[in-house]
Amino acid sequence: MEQLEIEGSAKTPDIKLNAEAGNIEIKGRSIPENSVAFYKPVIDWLSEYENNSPDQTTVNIQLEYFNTSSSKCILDLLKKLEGINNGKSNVHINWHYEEDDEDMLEAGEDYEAILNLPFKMIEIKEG
Amino acid sequence: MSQITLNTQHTAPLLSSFYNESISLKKDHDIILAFEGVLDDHKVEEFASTVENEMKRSNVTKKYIKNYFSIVIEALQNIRIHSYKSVDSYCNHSFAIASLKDHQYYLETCNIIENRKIKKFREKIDKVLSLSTSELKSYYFSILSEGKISDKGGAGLGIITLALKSNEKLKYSIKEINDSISLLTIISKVNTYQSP
Repeated sequence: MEQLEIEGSAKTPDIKLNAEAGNIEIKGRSIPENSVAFYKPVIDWLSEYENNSPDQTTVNIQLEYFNTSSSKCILDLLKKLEGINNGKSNVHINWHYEEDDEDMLEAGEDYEAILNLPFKMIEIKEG
Repeated sequence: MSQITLNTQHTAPLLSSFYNESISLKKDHDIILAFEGVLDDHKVEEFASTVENEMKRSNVTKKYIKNYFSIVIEALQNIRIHSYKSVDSYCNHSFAIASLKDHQYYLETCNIIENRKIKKFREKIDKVLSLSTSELKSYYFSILSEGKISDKGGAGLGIITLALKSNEKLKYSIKEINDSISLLTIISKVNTYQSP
């Protein structure tokens, strides 16, 4: 299965999806106006990954900002991973948030409450 | 299906004069950035990053920069998604004014709203304004959990996010232009004052 890499921009995050290693990384800002179109290739990739996943899947999400339409797309993406975690691959989510960014921590906690997935909240220290 | 023709003539000059009036009422504010015209995706990003850089230059605490940045993005993307759109771009003007007064960053936005959509909008914003912060967080959570995105790309969370990121209640006003359309103004505020 092919890797998927999308280079980040001022409005969209860096995306690195590696099926062989079971690594999924989303990092940066996610404020596109059309989030559904931006995240579509990621959702499509995850649909294929569902049947090609290794035993372990590690997901690292490190967002500085996300807009409200991205928040729904991230939920969709995590729901896909919840399906994969259901017997296909053990999925672990590392939710990174900047020191003192309580809103980003709470956003991660919201997803943790909605989904049946193990979350680890990781604070990024400044400097 | 019948076609509804809206009376949208002269909305650009009207919006422009309302914009000039809003600017003139801010004599005691430092205007950081102001925009009036047809908002596009690129201008939203440009407006948000310009005010972000300005706040960074002024050494504002990162938390407040993030709150204000989110407000700008949500408010302007809300206009892009929900504002009345005429086939004549001359009628699609809106404005945004980012200003600073006494350590408080204000964002005033104004756009055209169809009168037939006002009732639903008022219900939503009045509900948001009636809630405490913890109630707002629960409301946000309940809408997020439903996981729906409208055909227009809205998540139904924009106004809630404005309210959550503003540390004072949002203010809004609706001024009727004619029997079809009105001007909607929303003011959000981030207070960056930290007691010594």
